[in-house]
Order: sequence, then structure tokens, then C-alpha cells
Amino acid sequence: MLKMVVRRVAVSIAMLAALSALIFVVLRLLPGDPVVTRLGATPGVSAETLRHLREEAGLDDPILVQYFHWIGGMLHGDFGSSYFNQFSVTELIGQRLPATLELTVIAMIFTVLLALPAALLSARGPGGLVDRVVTTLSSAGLALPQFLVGVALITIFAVKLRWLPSRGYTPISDSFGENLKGLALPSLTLAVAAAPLLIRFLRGSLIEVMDTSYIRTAVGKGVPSWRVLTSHALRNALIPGLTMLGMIVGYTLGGVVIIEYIYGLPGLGSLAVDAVQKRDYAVLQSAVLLISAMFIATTLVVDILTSVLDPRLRSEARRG
Amino acid sequence: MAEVLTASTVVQAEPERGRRRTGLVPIIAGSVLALIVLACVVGPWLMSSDSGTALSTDRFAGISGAHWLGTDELGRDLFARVLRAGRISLGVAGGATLVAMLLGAAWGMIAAFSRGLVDEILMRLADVTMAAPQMLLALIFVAAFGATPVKLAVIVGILLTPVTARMIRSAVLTERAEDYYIAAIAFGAPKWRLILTEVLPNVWAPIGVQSAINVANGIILEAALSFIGLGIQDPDISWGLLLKYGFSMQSRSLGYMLYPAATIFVTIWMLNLLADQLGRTKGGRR
Amino acid sequence: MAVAGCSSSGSDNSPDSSGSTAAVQTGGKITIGAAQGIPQLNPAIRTFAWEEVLFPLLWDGLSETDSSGKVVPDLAESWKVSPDQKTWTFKLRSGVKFSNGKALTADDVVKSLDYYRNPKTATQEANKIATITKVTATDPSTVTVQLSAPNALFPSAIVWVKIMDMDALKTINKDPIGTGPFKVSKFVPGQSLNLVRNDKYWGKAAPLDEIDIVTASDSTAAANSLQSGDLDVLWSVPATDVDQIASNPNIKLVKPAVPSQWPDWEVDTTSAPFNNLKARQALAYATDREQVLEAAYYGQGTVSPYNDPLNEENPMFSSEGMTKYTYDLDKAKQLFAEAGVKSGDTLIWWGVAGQYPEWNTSAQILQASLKKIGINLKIENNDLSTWVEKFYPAGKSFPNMIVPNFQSTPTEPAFSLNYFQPGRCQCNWDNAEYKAAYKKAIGEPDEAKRKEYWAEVQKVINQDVPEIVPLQSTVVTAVNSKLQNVWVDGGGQLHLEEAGLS
Repeated sequence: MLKMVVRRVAVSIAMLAALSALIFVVLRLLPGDPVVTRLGATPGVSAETLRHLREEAGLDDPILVQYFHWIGGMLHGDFGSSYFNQFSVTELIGQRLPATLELTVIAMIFTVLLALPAALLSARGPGGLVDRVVTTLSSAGLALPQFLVGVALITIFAVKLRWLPSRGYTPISDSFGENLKGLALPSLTLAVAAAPLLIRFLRGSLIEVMDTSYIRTAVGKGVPSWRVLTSHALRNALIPGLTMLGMIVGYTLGGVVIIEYIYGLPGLGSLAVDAVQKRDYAVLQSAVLLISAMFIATTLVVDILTSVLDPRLRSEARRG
Repeated sequence: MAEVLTASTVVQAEPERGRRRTGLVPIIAGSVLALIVLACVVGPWLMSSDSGTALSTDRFAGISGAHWLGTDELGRDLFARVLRAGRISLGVAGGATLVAMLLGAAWGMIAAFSRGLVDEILMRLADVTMAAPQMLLALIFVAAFGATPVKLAVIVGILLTPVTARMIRSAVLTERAEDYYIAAIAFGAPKWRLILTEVLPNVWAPIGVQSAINVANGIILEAALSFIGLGIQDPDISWGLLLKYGFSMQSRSLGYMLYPAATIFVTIWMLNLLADQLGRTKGGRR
Repeated sequence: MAVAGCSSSGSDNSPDSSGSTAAVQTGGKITIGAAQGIPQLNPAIRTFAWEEVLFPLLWDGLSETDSSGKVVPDLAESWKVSPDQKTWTFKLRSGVKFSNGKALTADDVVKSLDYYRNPKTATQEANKIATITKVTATDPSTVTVQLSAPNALFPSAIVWVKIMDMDALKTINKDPIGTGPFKVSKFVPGQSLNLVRNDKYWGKAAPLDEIDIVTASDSTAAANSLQSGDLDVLWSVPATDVDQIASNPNIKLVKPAVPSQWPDWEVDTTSAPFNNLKARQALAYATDREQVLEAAYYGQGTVSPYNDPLNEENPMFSSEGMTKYTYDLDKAKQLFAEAGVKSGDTLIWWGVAGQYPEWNTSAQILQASLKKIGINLKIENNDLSTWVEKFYPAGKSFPNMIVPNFQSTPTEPAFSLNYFQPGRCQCNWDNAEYKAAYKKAIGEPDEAKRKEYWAEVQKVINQDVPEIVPLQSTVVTAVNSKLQNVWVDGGGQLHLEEAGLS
């Protein structure tokens, strides 16, 4: 058991290392660099000055040198600093992480709140009217790209009805109410996009479980179907559902970039987009690495939890 | 984005139900899709050569006989714009799917037939690329290489490849475990011939599903990139770019935003329905 | 954005406050937004034009411009100049303190000016202070500046050279130390900035307690926030939204009286085909300025038929002896042919992706015009860094290209017409007549005589067409009507130092 966990963690770390190298190289493909972007637009700047500044920033060193410099710094906890404002990357990320984390968490909550009742209602009467409505709606929901949902929600709730703000972020420390208001639409956007996946999956699992002999026995014995559904079927469908949830977190993190842009949220996603345009390498490298690490960590945790919870898998793990 | 949706997810989620009628749904879905594609490919050719590009002073006009969907901020016919945009959006998505299927097939099959270390490395590589946020990678590639329709097709295709590779690998592995395959190998049939004559035809269903999903994801990725201004650029036009303009000018004309939104939505929905249907076919065969 | 060499001899603004300030209450907090973010706080290194909003709020220079465009004393209470216009002496105010309590001395001024002059600082003000040879503190409250060439307008050249506490330079992005009416309490780079009133300020205290500066990257959302009251001020309202916002009774529009922001379509005068004057003239005739103004800029601006950066309302404007470049495709075709650009040839429009929709629209208008005379205009839009690298800084060769850009300059011709100096303009234009005329103008203390010299400079620019200047654009700022005393200078710099709620 422990051996498996250790092995998984090791693989994850290796993946992160590989990813860091990949990102590093890809970034150097970009034309332009932070010096040019910041100062190239200054009238009267000579090519000589630009070259000098580039050298100072270490941008002319061979790629391997730059890479090991970065990695070395990271191991000390030094992720470098933004070329534009000398804020350390750690600080910049610290400023932006809360928004992204909060967004992800609230989005997950909304997703479950939307998906669970729908899946339960569907599984209760497979093939029935409710089921068909839910299936069709979720099929349609899958077809709505996240940003389209965002656009629609903004137009309806922020522009036309003015119920909620269309942009902006208030930290929890300032005002809990404003904070939630600002995150309501973005989280809902992510949830509406992710819920159909969860509904589909849960429904399928629930129906499958409902079909097993021991459930049929319980029903035969006279246990009301609703109770059967919630106490027996749900518990068994929970484990694969957990896996699915893990995938959905990844999906959400992927959508974070564009959602933060549309809603003007100061999160990791918008930090990264900004850094791409400015060619602020240090910031971009670390932001991308962090988002990916979050995804890898979630998958890892879900993997481990699943094998811990599921006795069948646990025994397999002991064997292999 | 529906990048998480893979063929395996689709197949699992729909438990065998026994009924095998080829319903009305896939027929409708297929027809609508065909109509959209046909309109976008042939439509602009049938209309006057400068429809959708001619500037006029009749800005933000409403629906009329002359302009079926009204006009935009430069007086251009919106219907023609939507069709022309469709050419590029569908073209990019189609091209991306082609790239993803070819690269993914090669990747997946090499992994499936190599097993062992090579397989493990190739699959871990796929995991790594899937771990990075797709949009960010897309942004970086676009900043590095530019965003012409052809380049975008390649970039989006590369982004869709890892998932495709995984799917193809698992489909091939399933076939390898089949009786007919094991028997054929025992009889000494060469692998490559088996792949071409037996394996590939049998995996057409999951490949079909993955293709449909890839096209859908391709449309979404391109639209998202163009929406934030970093995808297709003026003077080219795509559904995502139309949406961007429409969104910023919604105070002048709500339709401007609704038409591309509706088109994207319907196209993807139909593709999803088709993918579902193909997935069910595979399930039936089991 | 992008290029902006400016200093402000700003100009007047809105209809409601002309020179005199309206009565306002003390206190209150406002939120202002702009599409660009503020990435950093060093005034010497200005990456984006929006950062200028901080100039009057956090910093002071030796001189500044008021809302009517006059150059007035700021940290220097008076100045005098030697008869040859080359030695300027500034007398500093007494009792001025930085926001950290440190007293301002002539030494600080010298250090700040030297910092700006250091080529490594790469400041946008470089061209205006290029002639400084020496800065000395002749006594603790007097600074003397030596110039290598006469400049009768020197005080207007340094309005944006801000005096900073150079000891605190290293931490300028965490805690900028200036002498202005506000100071920074929180900074999230690219996202938000929170300013509070500086109690150590030497001058009249600002009415407002707090100013929040936020990034509103999506224009639709920004317009909505303005309408709903989440934003009190929206700077540089996108042209498409102006009419709609104007219809809201709670919002008023603030514009500069004499716009001095001008789009310029840059060409390389040292490579083909635009090294040939006829090609440049042809392009000037092929530009449908009226349509560009209407369709691309939604009417927010004034056409410039003489291809002149100066607006016709500018006191120094002149059109004497100048050619009017009417929209004449026949002439354009002929001139292009004479320059070797024939039917079937292709030119490239090198634009920016995802921003400046007005450039895109301009491109399409130009493309349609050129198509009529058989020339293809290929429109290529790239991401910002790629765009910049192609033709910045001056000295790069970019044949066959037309690059859209814009300049935000003060109304003072010295700092808009100097854009065409070699080494500054990416058009690589080097014209002896222009240089001579400019030198004469800037060294002339008599205003009437100077006007004649500026007329000469404009004439040379008009005749030799280093670039295409289709119009001047008006930077529109939308302000909540309960906010008074907000003004915008010609180049679009926003001034809130006297703003207050009524």
C-alpha cells in the first residue's frame, strides 16, 4: 500500500520536472523578450541599451544555464521575480492564488449541487420523462463551451438584470458578501459546464448499481426505492464519482484561464495570460508549473483516496 | 472545455439497454450538421463575391430581405459573415482533428504494440502534456508561431493529440486481447497485416467517436482563443471572432452576438449527439 | 499605448469647469478603471500610457501644466534663464517633504534628473532632456541646468520628469516615495492599486480620501460597471461605447479641448517603396480620412487633411503653403506608379492582435481603397511583443510595410513635432530642413516669432510626408456626474488631483 503511494508520488514529481523543462523550452521559442516589451517601445532607445539590459537580465546566457539557474532557485524557494515590477514570483502568486482557489472550490460545490439531485432523479426512473429531460439538458449543456456560458450569464444577470457584478474581485478579508457576489457568476459558469459530465457519469453508475442483485433483493424485500437509491446505490457509486470529480477539477483548472479573463478576476490564470503577453518568463514559468502541479496533485490525491476507499482495489494493490 | 470527454467516458456512461433502434436523433443530428457544413462551404460561393466583406453605411441593421441576419458595425451582411466564419472555424477544427488523428494514431499504436518501458514513457508524456492547462499552451504557441488558420489547425491539433493517442492505444489493446487476434497471431499472421485488415476496421467506432469529439473540441478551442483576441485575426473571420465583436457591441445589436453563439452551440451539440450514437454502437457490439 | 512620448502642456477639458474649480466636499473614495493594467510604479519607466494617471497623484516635477495648458511652477517656485536660452536656474520651494518625512533638497532634484538622463533608465522623457549637459545644486534650494542647445521651452520639457527619493529606488514598486498629494497603500501589479491621501503633502490637500485604480480589461464589462456605479471613472472609453454611455444621465464625458493624440501610420523612409517621396504622397492621397474617422474612430476626433499632427484648434497650427491631401485615388495611383508600385503589388499592414479595433477597421478601409487602384494590402496582426520587435527602436528596416501606431503628445508643438527627429521616429526620416527649422523654433523665446518657425516645421513635414497622420483622436473619459474637477490633457492624461465629490 505504502509502496504504491510512494511510487505514485515519485511519478508525479518526475512529471512535474519534465513539464518544467517543456515549459522552459517552449517559452524561449517566443519572439520578443521582456526587455523589448518593456522598453522597446521607448522612443530613442538604442539597440545597444537593449542588448545591455538583456545581458543584465541573464537572457543571453545559454538555455541550459538559465534553466538550471531557475531550478536551483526553486529548490531554495526562490522562483525569481517579475521583470516589470521586481515583485518576487512567490509574492505575485500569493496575491493571485486565493482568487483561483476560491473559484475552483465554489465551482466544485455548485457542480455537485447541480449534478447530484439531477442524477438521482434520473436514476430513479431510467427511461422515464424526468430522465429524458435531464439527459437532453445535460447533452445540450455539454455542447455549451465554458466561455459561451460565461458570456450568456454576464449578459443576462449582470448587464440586463444588474443582479450581480460582471467583473471584479473583493477579497474575503474585505467583505464576505461582496466576495461571494463577485464569484457567483464565474463559479456558476464553470459549474454549468462541468455538471453535465458529472450527471452523465453518476447517472450511469447509479443505474448500473441499481441493477445488481443485492439491490433488487432489497427492493424485493420492500425497502422503498428512494431509500435504496440514496443509502445503497449512492454509496457504491461514490467511488467512481470521486474519480470523476478529480477529472472535473482538472477540467475546471483548465477553464480558469479564460473565465478569469472574461470576469476580470485576479487569479493565476490572468497572471499567466498577462505574463505571456509581456514575455515575463519568470512569472509565466512558475504560474504554469503551479497550475499543472495543482492538477497533478488532485489526480494523485483522488487516486490514493480511491484505492484506500475501495477494498477491491486495495487488495489488488497489495498483490501488485 | 470538453477535453475531458473521451470515447471511453462516453461508452461507459451509457449502460447497455438492449434496445437497438437507430433512433431519430442521430439522423436529425447528422442532417443538421451536414446542412451547416454545406451552407458554410458552398454558401459564400453562391452569394456575391463581396458579400460579408463589402463595407456599407447601413450599420447594425436589423433582419430584412436584403440582409437575412442584419448587418454589423461596418455595414457588412451578417449572414454572409457567419457563413464565411464557419468556413474557417470548421476548417480549423477539421484540420486539427486530422492532425490529431494521424499523430495520435501513430503515438497510440506504437505505445500499444511496444508495451513495457516505451509504452510507459509515451503514456507518461501524454499525461504530462495533458496536465498543463490547454488554454495557456495554446496561447504560448500562438504567440510563438502566429495564428493564421493553417497554423491554428496545427496548434489545436497538437493539443488534441495526447487524448487521442490514449484512446487509440486503449482501443488497440482491447483488440489485441480478442480471441480472433490471439488466434491469428498463433497462426503466424504478420502483425502489420492484422492491424490493417482486422484491427483498424474494428476500432472505427471509437475512432469515429473521438473524431467527432475532436472536431467539437477544436471548434471550442479556436472560438475561445479568438474570443479573447488571440486566435483568428482580422481580416479573417471565425465564429469566435464574430462572438467577440458581437459581445462588445451587444448594446447596439443583440443578434450580432446571438447568431455566432447559436451556431457554435448547435454545431457542437449535433457533434456530441453523433458521438453518443457511435459510442452506443460500440457498446452494442460488446 | 505602445509609443507615447509625451510631456504635458496639456489643455482644457470639460464644459463644466473651465479653469475655475467647482466646490466639492472633502472625503470619499472613488474607483477608476482602464483597460490596461498598471504593471509597475516607476514614473521614469512608463510602459503603458495609463500609468501616467499616477503622475499628478504621486509625484511632482519642477514644473507642471494646469488645466488650461499653461506651464506653471510645481516644486520649483520660480525659474530664470540666461539670454542664450541655455542655462536654466530653478529656485525650489521650501518646506517640501517626501511622503516618508524626508525633506526635499536640491540634491534630490539633481539625483532624480541624473537618473532620468542615464541611458540605462531608458525613460520615455529622454528626447526632451537629451540636450541637458549638466545638472548642479548651486545651493540647497537652487538647481542649475546647462543645455547644449538653446531651448526656450525647457520648463515645459520637464513637466513629466518627476522628483523621486532616489534612496528608495530599489523598493519603488513596493513603496514609492514621492511628494505628491497621494501615496500608495496596496499594489497588486496588473490588477489594482489603492491610493490614500498623503498628509505630508506641501500643497493644497486633495479632496478625496482614497482612490482605487482597477483593471477593466473587457470593455463591455467596464461599460457595464460604469453604468451600474461599480466604477466612477472609465478612462479611454472605447469609441463604440461612447454614444451609449453618453445617454446615461448619471455619467458625463470629459474630453480634451484640443486633442493631441494622433494615430500615425508608420513607413520606413529608408527602404522601398517608401524611400521614394512619391510613394508616401500616394499613400497620403489614398487615405480616406473621413471614413477612417467615422468607421474606425466613431467620429471621436478631427480629420487632418494636411497630414499634420497638430490639431487645427492648436494655437500654433498653420496650413500656409501646405498641400491638402484630399482622398484622390487617381492621383494616388499615378504617384504610386511613378514610385514603382504598380497594379498587382502587395504591401503589408503590420498590426497588433487582440487590441486596437480601430486599427483593424482602418486597415480594412485602406485595403478597400488600395484594391480599387489594383494594389493589395495584406493585413497581418501579431501579438504585441512580435509587433514591437519588427520596427522598434528607430533604425530598423521594414520595407513594404505600413505599421499603425499612435502618439500621445502634449499640445505644445515642441513635443509633438519633435517626434520626427532622427533616432526617435521609426520612420527613419532624416531631413535637414526640418531639423534646422525645429532648432530655430525651440530656441526662440518670442512667441509670435516662434509661431512662424513652427509653421515652417509643419510645412516641411507636410511636403515630405514622413508618415501618414489621418486624424487626431479624442480620448474620451467617462465620469460619474457627482465627481467634479476632473480634467484630461490633450494627450489623454487624466488629472484627479483636484477631484472631489459634490
